[in-house]
Amino acid sequence: MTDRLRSFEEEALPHLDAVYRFALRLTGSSVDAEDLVQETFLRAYRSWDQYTPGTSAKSWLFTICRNTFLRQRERERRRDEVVERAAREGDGPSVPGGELPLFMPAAQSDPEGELFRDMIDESILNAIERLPADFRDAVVLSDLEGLSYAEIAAVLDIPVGTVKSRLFRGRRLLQQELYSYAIEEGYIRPRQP
Amino acid sequence: MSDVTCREALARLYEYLDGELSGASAEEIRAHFELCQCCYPHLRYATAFQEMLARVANGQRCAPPELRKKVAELLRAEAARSGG
Repeated sequence: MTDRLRSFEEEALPHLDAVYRFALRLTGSSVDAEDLVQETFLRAYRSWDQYTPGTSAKSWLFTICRNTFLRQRERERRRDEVVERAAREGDGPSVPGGELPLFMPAAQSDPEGELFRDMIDESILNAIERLPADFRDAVVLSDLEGLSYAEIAAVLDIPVGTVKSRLFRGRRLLQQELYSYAIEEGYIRPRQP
Repeated sequence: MSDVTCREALARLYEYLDGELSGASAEEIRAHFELCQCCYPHLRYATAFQEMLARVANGQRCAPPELRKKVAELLRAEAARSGG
């Protein structure tokens, strides 16, 4: 085996699961995700010289995966709503109008966050999938895949300030979503006014 | 109490929890949350929320084994084709 293939297999291939999950979220179908993953790894292997050893191979692969996906989709669709919205958000303040980071009705009726301990993983993942795509991507890359703000900014091609505001709002939306779900399922009762 | 206002501390809550603040800023925010009765519950709640997500992250689905095999074959074929 060549050194190039060996180093690629050692550093890039361990992220196959993460890239697959990312591709699944981008495409929304397991068939398309599998194609995208293969294309991503082939492209990554061909540009392995451009990868800087010691940096995050995972976020490098995510970047290639997303770019490949966007390029493919561009051929099919004309306008990309994500990019448009990113441009509108600009690099504005991370907390517009001094909003609170938490969804307060949830935090007040469940200050210890008991709800988070009881909820089953599948319900949480479903709630994440229901977030608007821009917010979901930021939350997934940070909270599920462990990328730094700078890495997320590079993968999604948006300013770090936008990463912060999407995380801020996305997490609060997720708390809101989980709270509604928990009330529906009877995990918790709404706080009496 | 530190110089950080409640508003600033809450605005930077996630940056603090995500390890995105430098030493001095992180210390300021940490000190504020520790001493401020209004803000401390926010920190606890957000921590419980993130612990939940960390748990979910550990149990996430994996790529199908056939895909893993296909990618490995694809790479070997490409390595053989390009000679490296």
